[in-house]
This record gives sequence, C-alpha cells and structure tokens, in this order.
Amino acid sequence: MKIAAILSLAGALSAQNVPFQRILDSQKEPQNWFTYSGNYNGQRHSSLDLIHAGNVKRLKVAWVHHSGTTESHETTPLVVDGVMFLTEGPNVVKSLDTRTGSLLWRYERTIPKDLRLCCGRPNRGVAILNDTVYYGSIDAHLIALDARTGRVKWDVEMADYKTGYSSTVAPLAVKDKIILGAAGGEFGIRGFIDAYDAKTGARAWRFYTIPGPGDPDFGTWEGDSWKVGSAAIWTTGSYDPETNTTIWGTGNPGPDWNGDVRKGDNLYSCAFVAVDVDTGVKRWHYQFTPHDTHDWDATQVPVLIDGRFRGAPRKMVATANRNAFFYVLDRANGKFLTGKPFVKQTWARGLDDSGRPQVLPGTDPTEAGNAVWPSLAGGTNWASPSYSPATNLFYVPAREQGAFYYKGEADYKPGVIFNGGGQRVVPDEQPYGAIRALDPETGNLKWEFRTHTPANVGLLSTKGNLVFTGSTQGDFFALNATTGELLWRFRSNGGMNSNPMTYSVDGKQYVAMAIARALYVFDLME
Amino acid sequence: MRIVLLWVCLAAFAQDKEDVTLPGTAEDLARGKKLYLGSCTYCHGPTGDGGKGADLARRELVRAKTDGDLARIIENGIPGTEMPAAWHMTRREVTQTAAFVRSLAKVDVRAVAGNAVNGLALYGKHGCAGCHTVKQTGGYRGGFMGPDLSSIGLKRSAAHLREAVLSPAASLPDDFMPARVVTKGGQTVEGRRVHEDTFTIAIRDAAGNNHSFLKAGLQSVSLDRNSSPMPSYKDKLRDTELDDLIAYLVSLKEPL
Repeated sequence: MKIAAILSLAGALSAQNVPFQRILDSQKEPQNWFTYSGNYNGQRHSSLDLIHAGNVKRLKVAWVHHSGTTESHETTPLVVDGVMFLTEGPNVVKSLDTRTGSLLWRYERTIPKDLRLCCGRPNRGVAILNDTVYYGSIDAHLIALDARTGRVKWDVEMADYKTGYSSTVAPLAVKDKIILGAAGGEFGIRGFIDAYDAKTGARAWRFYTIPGPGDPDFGTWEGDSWKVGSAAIWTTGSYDPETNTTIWGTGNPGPDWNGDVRKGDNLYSCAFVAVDVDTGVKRWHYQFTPHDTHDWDATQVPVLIDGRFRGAPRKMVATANRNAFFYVLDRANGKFLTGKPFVKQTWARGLDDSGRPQVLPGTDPTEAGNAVWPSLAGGTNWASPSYSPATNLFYVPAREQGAFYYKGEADYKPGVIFNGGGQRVVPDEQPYGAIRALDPETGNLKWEFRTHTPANVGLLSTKGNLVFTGSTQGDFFALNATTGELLWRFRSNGGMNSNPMTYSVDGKQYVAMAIARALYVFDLME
Repeated sequence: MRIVLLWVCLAAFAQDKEDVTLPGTAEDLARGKKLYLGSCTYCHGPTGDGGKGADLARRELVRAKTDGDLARIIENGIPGTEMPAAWHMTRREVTQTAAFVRSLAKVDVRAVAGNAVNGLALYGKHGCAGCHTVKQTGGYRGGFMGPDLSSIGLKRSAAHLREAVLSPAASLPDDFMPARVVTKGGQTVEGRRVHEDTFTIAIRDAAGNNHSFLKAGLQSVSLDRNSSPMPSYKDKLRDTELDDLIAYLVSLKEPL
C-alpha cells in the first residue's frame, strides 16, 4: 500500500510543472504553496480551512524531518502537487514527500571555507518555475535545479563572495525571470536586485539599491560612501501584476552604527523599492528611515492589500517596519497614506505629512552608548507578517525592547566587517513580545497576545480563522484570528527562527514549521 | 579526512607557541578601545562584561590564558562558536584590541587587605552557606538560592564583592530573578527563577528543589529584581571583618 502510494507520487512529480500562470492564480490552488509568502501579494494567508478554530485543538505532529546540518532552519518550504522543496543552511536543498517527510532528493553545494558572514549561514527557501527549483547560495550564486532530481541545470555567480556578498533570500519567480538580491549589509557591499532568465541563467537586469552617478537620486551619500553603502536584500519581495512591479525591502546603510562617514539620506537604504519586472527600472521608492544609524533594515515582506482607505477603494502596500512604525503606502506610486508606532519607540517625535520621521536630537549611537527604543533587532525583524482578507487585520510579531547603541570606527576594506559600533541590552529591562493584530487603515491595535520574549517568528493566517506562529523559546501555537485567543500549542523546546506555511494533499491539511534543526509538520488527529 | 584533521590540530599547536607582546602606549590603548567599540561591543558589551558573548572584564580569560591566545582568538575567531574572526584588523590592530581587552579586567589584582582564613570563619558564622555554594574537597557544599561562589574570585573584583555584601539588591547577577508564585490551590513557592516562557515558569527554592508550573494554573506570579533575598551585612560586620570576608571570597578560584 505504502509502495503504491509512493509510486503514484513519483508519477505526479514527473508530470509536475509550475508555469507562471499557476503562481499568478495561486488562490485557485490553496493546496499548494508556490512561492515564499504563499502568494505574490506577500500576505502569507491561506484559504484552506480544513483546520479551523473549532478543531485546531486536535492538531498533532504528523511527521518530523531532521536536517542533519548544524544551522538553525529559516526556510519556508514550497509545496507543489504533494511534493515539498526546502532549504537547510548552510548549503542544502531537499525535496520531500509532503505526506511522510521521506526524502526524494538532496542537493548539497560545496561552499568556500573563507566565507565572510555576519550572522550565521541561513537560507530562507527556494523558488519554483516550470520544472525547475531556484536556489540562492550562501556564496552568492543562483543555482537552477531539476525539480525531479535535484540535478544542477545551471549555476551563475551573482557577485564575488570574497568582497562580502552572500545570498540567504528565497528567490521570486515572475514571468520568465528569477528575481533575488545579495546579502552582505555588514560588509560594505553595494546592494542590488537582480533578475535572471529562468531558462538560461543570463542576467536580464540589475537594479542597484544605491543609485550611482547620473541617477536623479544620486547625491544622498557624502563623498564616495555610496560605493560601500550596503542596502542589502535578504527577504523576498512581492509582485503586483497590475502594475507589473516587484516591491522589495532594502537593508541598512553601512557602516551600520556610524553615520558620520555617510552623511545624507542614504537612498535607497531602509526603503521599499518598486521595480518594473521587465526592465528593472525603478517606479518609486519610499524610505522609512532616512540616514539610519540603528541597523533598522526595511527587509520586511511588503504586504499588498486591496482594500478601502478613508472610504475609497485603494491598492496599498502595508508594512510594520523594524523602526517601530506601521506604514500604509499607495502601491501605485509609493505615496505615504498613514503610519503610527506599533511598539515603544523613543527616536522620533512622529511622522510628518509625507511620512518622514521627525527624528529627536540625541538619538544617534555614541561612543559612550545611548539608550534608544526599539533595539537593533527592531520593533519587528525579518519574520513574516500576515494579512487576512477574512478579518481585514494585519498581524505582526512585535518586539518590546530597547538597546544602548554604540558608535565605533569603521574603515572599509573589501570583504571585512564594516559596522562601526554595536548595541547592548538595557540592564534590568524585561523585554517581551506580542503578536499584534492591527487595523491596516489606521494602524490601531485590535488585539494582542503577549509572549515572554520579543517575538521573532513569522505568522501564517488562514481562512480557518487562525493565526499560527511560535516563540523563540520553542512554543508553536495557534490563535483565534478574530480575538487573539490561544487555541492550541505545541511545546518543542527548540528555538524557532522561521515562518509557518500550510498545504493540503489527499484532502488533508497540514501546517509546517521549521523548528531548531528540523521541519515539523502537523495534521488533525483522526 | 581524519589525517587532514590531525594536520590541522598540529598546525594550530605550532601556532599556539608563538609569543605575542601587546602594545602598551596610551595611543595604542585608545586605538584598541575604538576598534573594540566598533567590532566587539555587540556581543561583549562596551565595558567587556559580557552579554551574548563572554565576560571579558576579568583577569583570567578561560580561553585566552596568554596574550598570544587572546590575539589569535581575535584574529581567527573560535570555530564552532559565534565568535567571528576579525578579518578587518591588521595584526597591529589585533594586538591593540587585545591590549584594550586586557585593560577591561575588573578583578582587582592588588592585594586585598583582609585575612582569608578569618573570612572563611565569618562566612560560616553569618550563614552564607545557607544560600551559596562553594566547591570544596569532597564536592559542592552550601545552599542553592544564591549564586555559586566557587570561582567568584576569578569573575568579580574585590570592590564589586564589597558592594554586593553591603547592598545586595544593587548588584544582582543578570540572570538572577527572585520569584514568588501562588497556585490556584493556595500553595506559595518562593525562590529563584530558573526558567520562564510564555506558558510556564520554574523556580528553585532555598532547599534546592525545582518547582515547575503551567502559568494557567497559577493565581499570581511576582518577580522583583529591586529586592534581594540576601540581607545587607552593612551593620553586621565591622570594617576589618568585611575585609576578611572579601579576602576569602577573592580567594575562591575554582578553574572555570
């Protein structure tokens, strides 16, 4: 019986094909999870409702797949027609049977021993298009793998890892292109978003996240500091088919905590940039934190919402930013619509009419240290938010914590850490976290679920009126999406640093979450 | 593979023998401080007293007994840990940073005035062992409520220990949280918190027993870092007795 099932699965896999149109229409196939956030709109919302608020108490472990690597998991698996694709840091891609966790193939890349990395060797997942899986490797290559076998089809270098470039982001497949960017924001890279031809690996365009000479936005960096200003890319962007733009969040300017050597707004660091998918030409940008000196990357997944704003229909992009403010922009032009803090912050009086922060004096890092809220890790970090069209609520993992920020020297040398300071915790502060549900029209808090430690785990909302998330201390749990009430929890005692997702196969819904060094998959007790 | 590993070990061993002299001018230390603030404070704190990274503000560093060890750790990192190699520093900058790290040591190397033998007697007389453990011949002796003092002479300066004895609440260790819970059944448990998350809390009482609770089953949880279960010895020790007690504590140097 089991053998027959696997054989039938193998048949399904060989027939597997994910053309662009299927990803575009992914709402028609809620059983699958075609792209990092589940859908191009970045909502990380599923219309599956076999698991719902009324029966989630019966959720239990269906299977566990151990990684065998030493890195903590940051992956979001993709699921296509009963087959799963996931990554394991530092250098592994796998395909699994979604019903059992059994291995179908494993690809391991040989990586250089002299990698320059700031923050571990994670990877956040793959993209799939047609019959190919796309993987951005820690040594800054983009690699195309046969979805049936894991064999390498092509391998292109995005940038030279020896000068501090790396890649940890799950690529985004749009039309005939694979879009991703380079990490390395603590190494003085010049950040970029690249698009590659999905068939050949030829680079179609490159958009530098720091404009160069001749660009109208050039000149927001003092002297030559733009050449080493970072603005890295390390979380996946969204795609708006109506405007044919892809919207990505950019990282901090470098050096992180010493802004003296890069006076100016430092465009397009700490910003959303909207780029034409066909040409790579920028349509608009919106910078959340001009001249950031606290390492508040804007690398949160842009959440596209079609809703009403002040009574009129509006196409928006919403984000809860690391700088402690929640923002809603018009996604056709990047115009600021509204914004307000969603956690404690002490660095800005507020936002002006254009959304620019009114920065309070004396909030920059100093050699002696300067206490500012939020901390370096921010009001939220890279863990995915979620938006549920059913509740019209924006869910965010929130962090209530401050830090002492320090400024140090930073002389740029290729491939070496370029951060110019650091932070340390505020003694005797008892930091905490919360899952917060915000009204996307106002940013007002609708409910919160408090967690003992600052929240750093992504969120998944479902049509079953559920929000799934976890804590850094090892609890994976489900909340009522309307009220925030705790409905179910699973104690793993392993750290979580990833995002949940859901899929169904053979009429059964599963919820998957990478915990510590394993993937846990849950289903309902019969 | 095994042969390769052996070769690596031999290479490291040879490298370990290299002697390093740290620079000592005011300019070197100032440059070392700037480099330290730029690269090390994120984990080790601006005064070296730790955080995500190790506490460097002490005279003896477990992994860096010699200045050469310290320089090599800064230069190469510690494989298998989060301590990265300082790719960005020249050899001279590494030694300047190492010199500054050495200057962070809080442990007072000057002779302590008191008599450690008398201090041991005072430690017993005032009941310190009721809450604190010290490793002695035959094993660990003492209570569980307070921090283990076996290596306190390596970790803290005499001045810091004096402050802790006189004003305990002013110098609680970062991980020390007095806790008191009352269950819905009316049972009260007091002690130090050994674990807490969103849903559970665990407390170790003065007798060393661990109590673990689901928060949903508790009537109340009280945490108070502004008080210490340890009384002040300000009015209980004469000045010379305080010196003796501090001398005893400074003498506790169980290897880390």
